[in-house]
Amino acid sequence: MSQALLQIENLKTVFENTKSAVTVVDDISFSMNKGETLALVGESGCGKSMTSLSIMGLLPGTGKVAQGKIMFEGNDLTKKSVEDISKIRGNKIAMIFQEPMTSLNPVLKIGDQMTEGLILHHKLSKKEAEARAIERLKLVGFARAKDMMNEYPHQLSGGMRQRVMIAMAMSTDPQLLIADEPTTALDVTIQAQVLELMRDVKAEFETSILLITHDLGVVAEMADRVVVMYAGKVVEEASVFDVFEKSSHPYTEGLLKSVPNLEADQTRLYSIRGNVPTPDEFPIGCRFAPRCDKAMDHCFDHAPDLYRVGDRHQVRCFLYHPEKGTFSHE
Amino acid sequence: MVKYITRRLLGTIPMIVLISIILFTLLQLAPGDPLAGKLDQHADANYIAKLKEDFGLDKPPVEQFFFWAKNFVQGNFGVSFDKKVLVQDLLSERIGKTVFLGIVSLIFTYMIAIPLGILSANKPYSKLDYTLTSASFIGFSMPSFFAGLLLIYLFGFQLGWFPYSGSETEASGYEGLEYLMDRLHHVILPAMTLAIINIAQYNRYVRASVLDAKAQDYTRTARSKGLSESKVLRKHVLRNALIPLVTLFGIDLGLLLSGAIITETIFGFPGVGQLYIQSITTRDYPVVMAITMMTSMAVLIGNLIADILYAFVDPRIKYD
Ligand SMILES: Nc1ncnc2c1ncn2[C@@H]1O[C@H](COP(=O)(O)OP(=O)(O)OP(=O)(O)O)[C@@H](O)[C@H]1O
Ligand code: SF4
Ligand SMILES: [Mg+2]
Repeated sequence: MSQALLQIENLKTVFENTKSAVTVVDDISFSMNKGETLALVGESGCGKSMTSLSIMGLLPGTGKVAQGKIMFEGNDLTKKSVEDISKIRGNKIAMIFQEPMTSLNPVLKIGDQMTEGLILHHKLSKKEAEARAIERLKLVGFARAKDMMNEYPHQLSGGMRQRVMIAMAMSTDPQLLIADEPTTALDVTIQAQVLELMRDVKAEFETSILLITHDLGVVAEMADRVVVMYAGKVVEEASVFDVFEKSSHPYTEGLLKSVPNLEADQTRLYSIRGNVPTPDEFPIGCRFAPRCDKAMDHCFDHAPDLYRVGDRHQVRCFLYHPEKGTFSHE
Repeated sequence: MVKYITRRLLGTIPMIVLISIILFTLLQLAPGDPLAGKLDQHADANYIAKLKEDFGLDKPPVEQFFFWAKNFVQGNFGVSFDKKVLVQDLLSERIGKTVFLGIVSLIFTYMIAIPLGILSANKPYSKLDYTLTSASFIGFSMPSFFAGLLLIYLFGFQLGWFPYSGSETEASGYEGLEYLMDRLHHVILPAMTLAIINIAQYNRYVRASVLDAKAQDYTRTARSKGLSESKVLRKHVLRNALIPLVTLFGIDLGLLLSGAIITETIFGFPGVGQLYIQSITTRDYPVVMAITMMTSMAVLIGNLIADILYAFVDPRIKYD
């Protein structure tokens, strides 16, 4: 196995206040190879954004990484000083955020925001940085890139702003692009454009992409491998092929079943029953147990580990426990 | 922009007319006679009648109003009942002093409040922040006569650093820079008195605004580019956070002319505020009218200036 570009080991992210601490990312591990697109999927609130913000060192409020390692090119980012992290951020690791409407600074020109990183990390002159920025804006499909440099974010639509964010993130040729639901806030036709753009960019620069989404359609289109999260934990890790053909965790199955399917004559759209638990009330056993159709008594008071079911395919479910027969079914 | 400004200026006319009508009516209804108390009880009735005629007080109120308005529009504010001089002469002497006091106090306010607010926001809920919060609370709840007396006692009596009465040394013969320094010296304590309550208020405002901007998505984006925290603050946070201050600045500009009644009185500072309160006590209506009208217009114009400034500092705002 080639050396991983990003390797997350037992990452635990907590929000702490004087009274209590909530763990929003609990003991997560996964790794990404160079040039790979890894999709991080799961329902709202399962900790996808907090995982990516942990990598960036940009957790909001009182959030902090309490445990674990974030190895990037062989160095642990959690051990780095603020200055050292700043050298990587926006340079080798860039991020596109979930909120395209508010992620650009309303009072600064696009050109100013596009060139900041280039001037800082690549030591370009203002002129050189502008030339590069215009080139990247063209790459994301803006024919009038030059004029846009003098415009303000409010003059652009949401889709345009997200494309600017992509151009901005890609301007420093990062090794890793973290894209947090880059298309969720956009309408469907724009979504397809943005995804295609990310694929092009990736092909051109061999960027690894950590793609966060809850849209399995996007996963099928974009990803090489998939990590499924539920309630702050990884419940399945597999290749995109295995997820769609041999998905194993009941939660993943549920997610797949809830994708609208034109071929099957569904009368009603399937949805997983119940609600996602909040971090302060995660069940003690398998966190999915209250919503799981296959739950066994054992699941309610024992927490499953990740069990290997194939090549680079792991599942956190007692159904795949090597001695599964010892648990009684309900 | 020119169109916008013209439209706004025209828009203020009905407001000014309305204000003058209300003001005039209120003064008519107010108890007390402008000539009472100034004349001997046994004054000749004919003399009183003549005085009334001179001041136009024998006419019906509506006629009086139109007479006043006609003159006002022509820049003639009438004659002070009390001091028997032209109101405009009375005012022009004082406006400069009051504006000087106001500007120095605004400089204090902004130079102290903005850095303090940023400091608080940089370490929210720290000891420093709590200290500033408490200090602001005290500053805000302190009546200005008390603040003024406190400053007079400390820096005037005890330390003897600053004079605490008047706006300049009487008959000093100072000229040029020396004269300016003398006036500055006199204005420090009253300006600080006025600034205290503003500083207390504005630094809270800046703190909240900076904290808010720091939590915005665009700030996270700026950080995600690897910019240093100080660069993020200077370039991304402050530019957004200080924009709303423009509104306060407009209000402050508008209030520059009105002077500060209490502070000017305590410091024996011969400004508009002092004249205003004197004129009210002596029912010197032409002066009261002139000052109130001038202040109202200044407030309206201050507002307009704030709105125009907005267009310069916030690219999202465009007027046409
Ligand atoms: N500032 C915060 N303080 C405390 N808890 C937080 C904070 N931000 C997020 N959380 C909690 O962290 C958990 C994970 O949130 P996260 O944003 O990572 O979810 P997500 O998987 O990205 O969801 P979505 O699909 O809605 O974006 C949530 O339960 C949320 O309530
Ligand atoms: S461990 Fe039990 S409850 Fe959890 S997913 Fe597997 S079967 Fe369902
Ligand atoms: Mg999210």
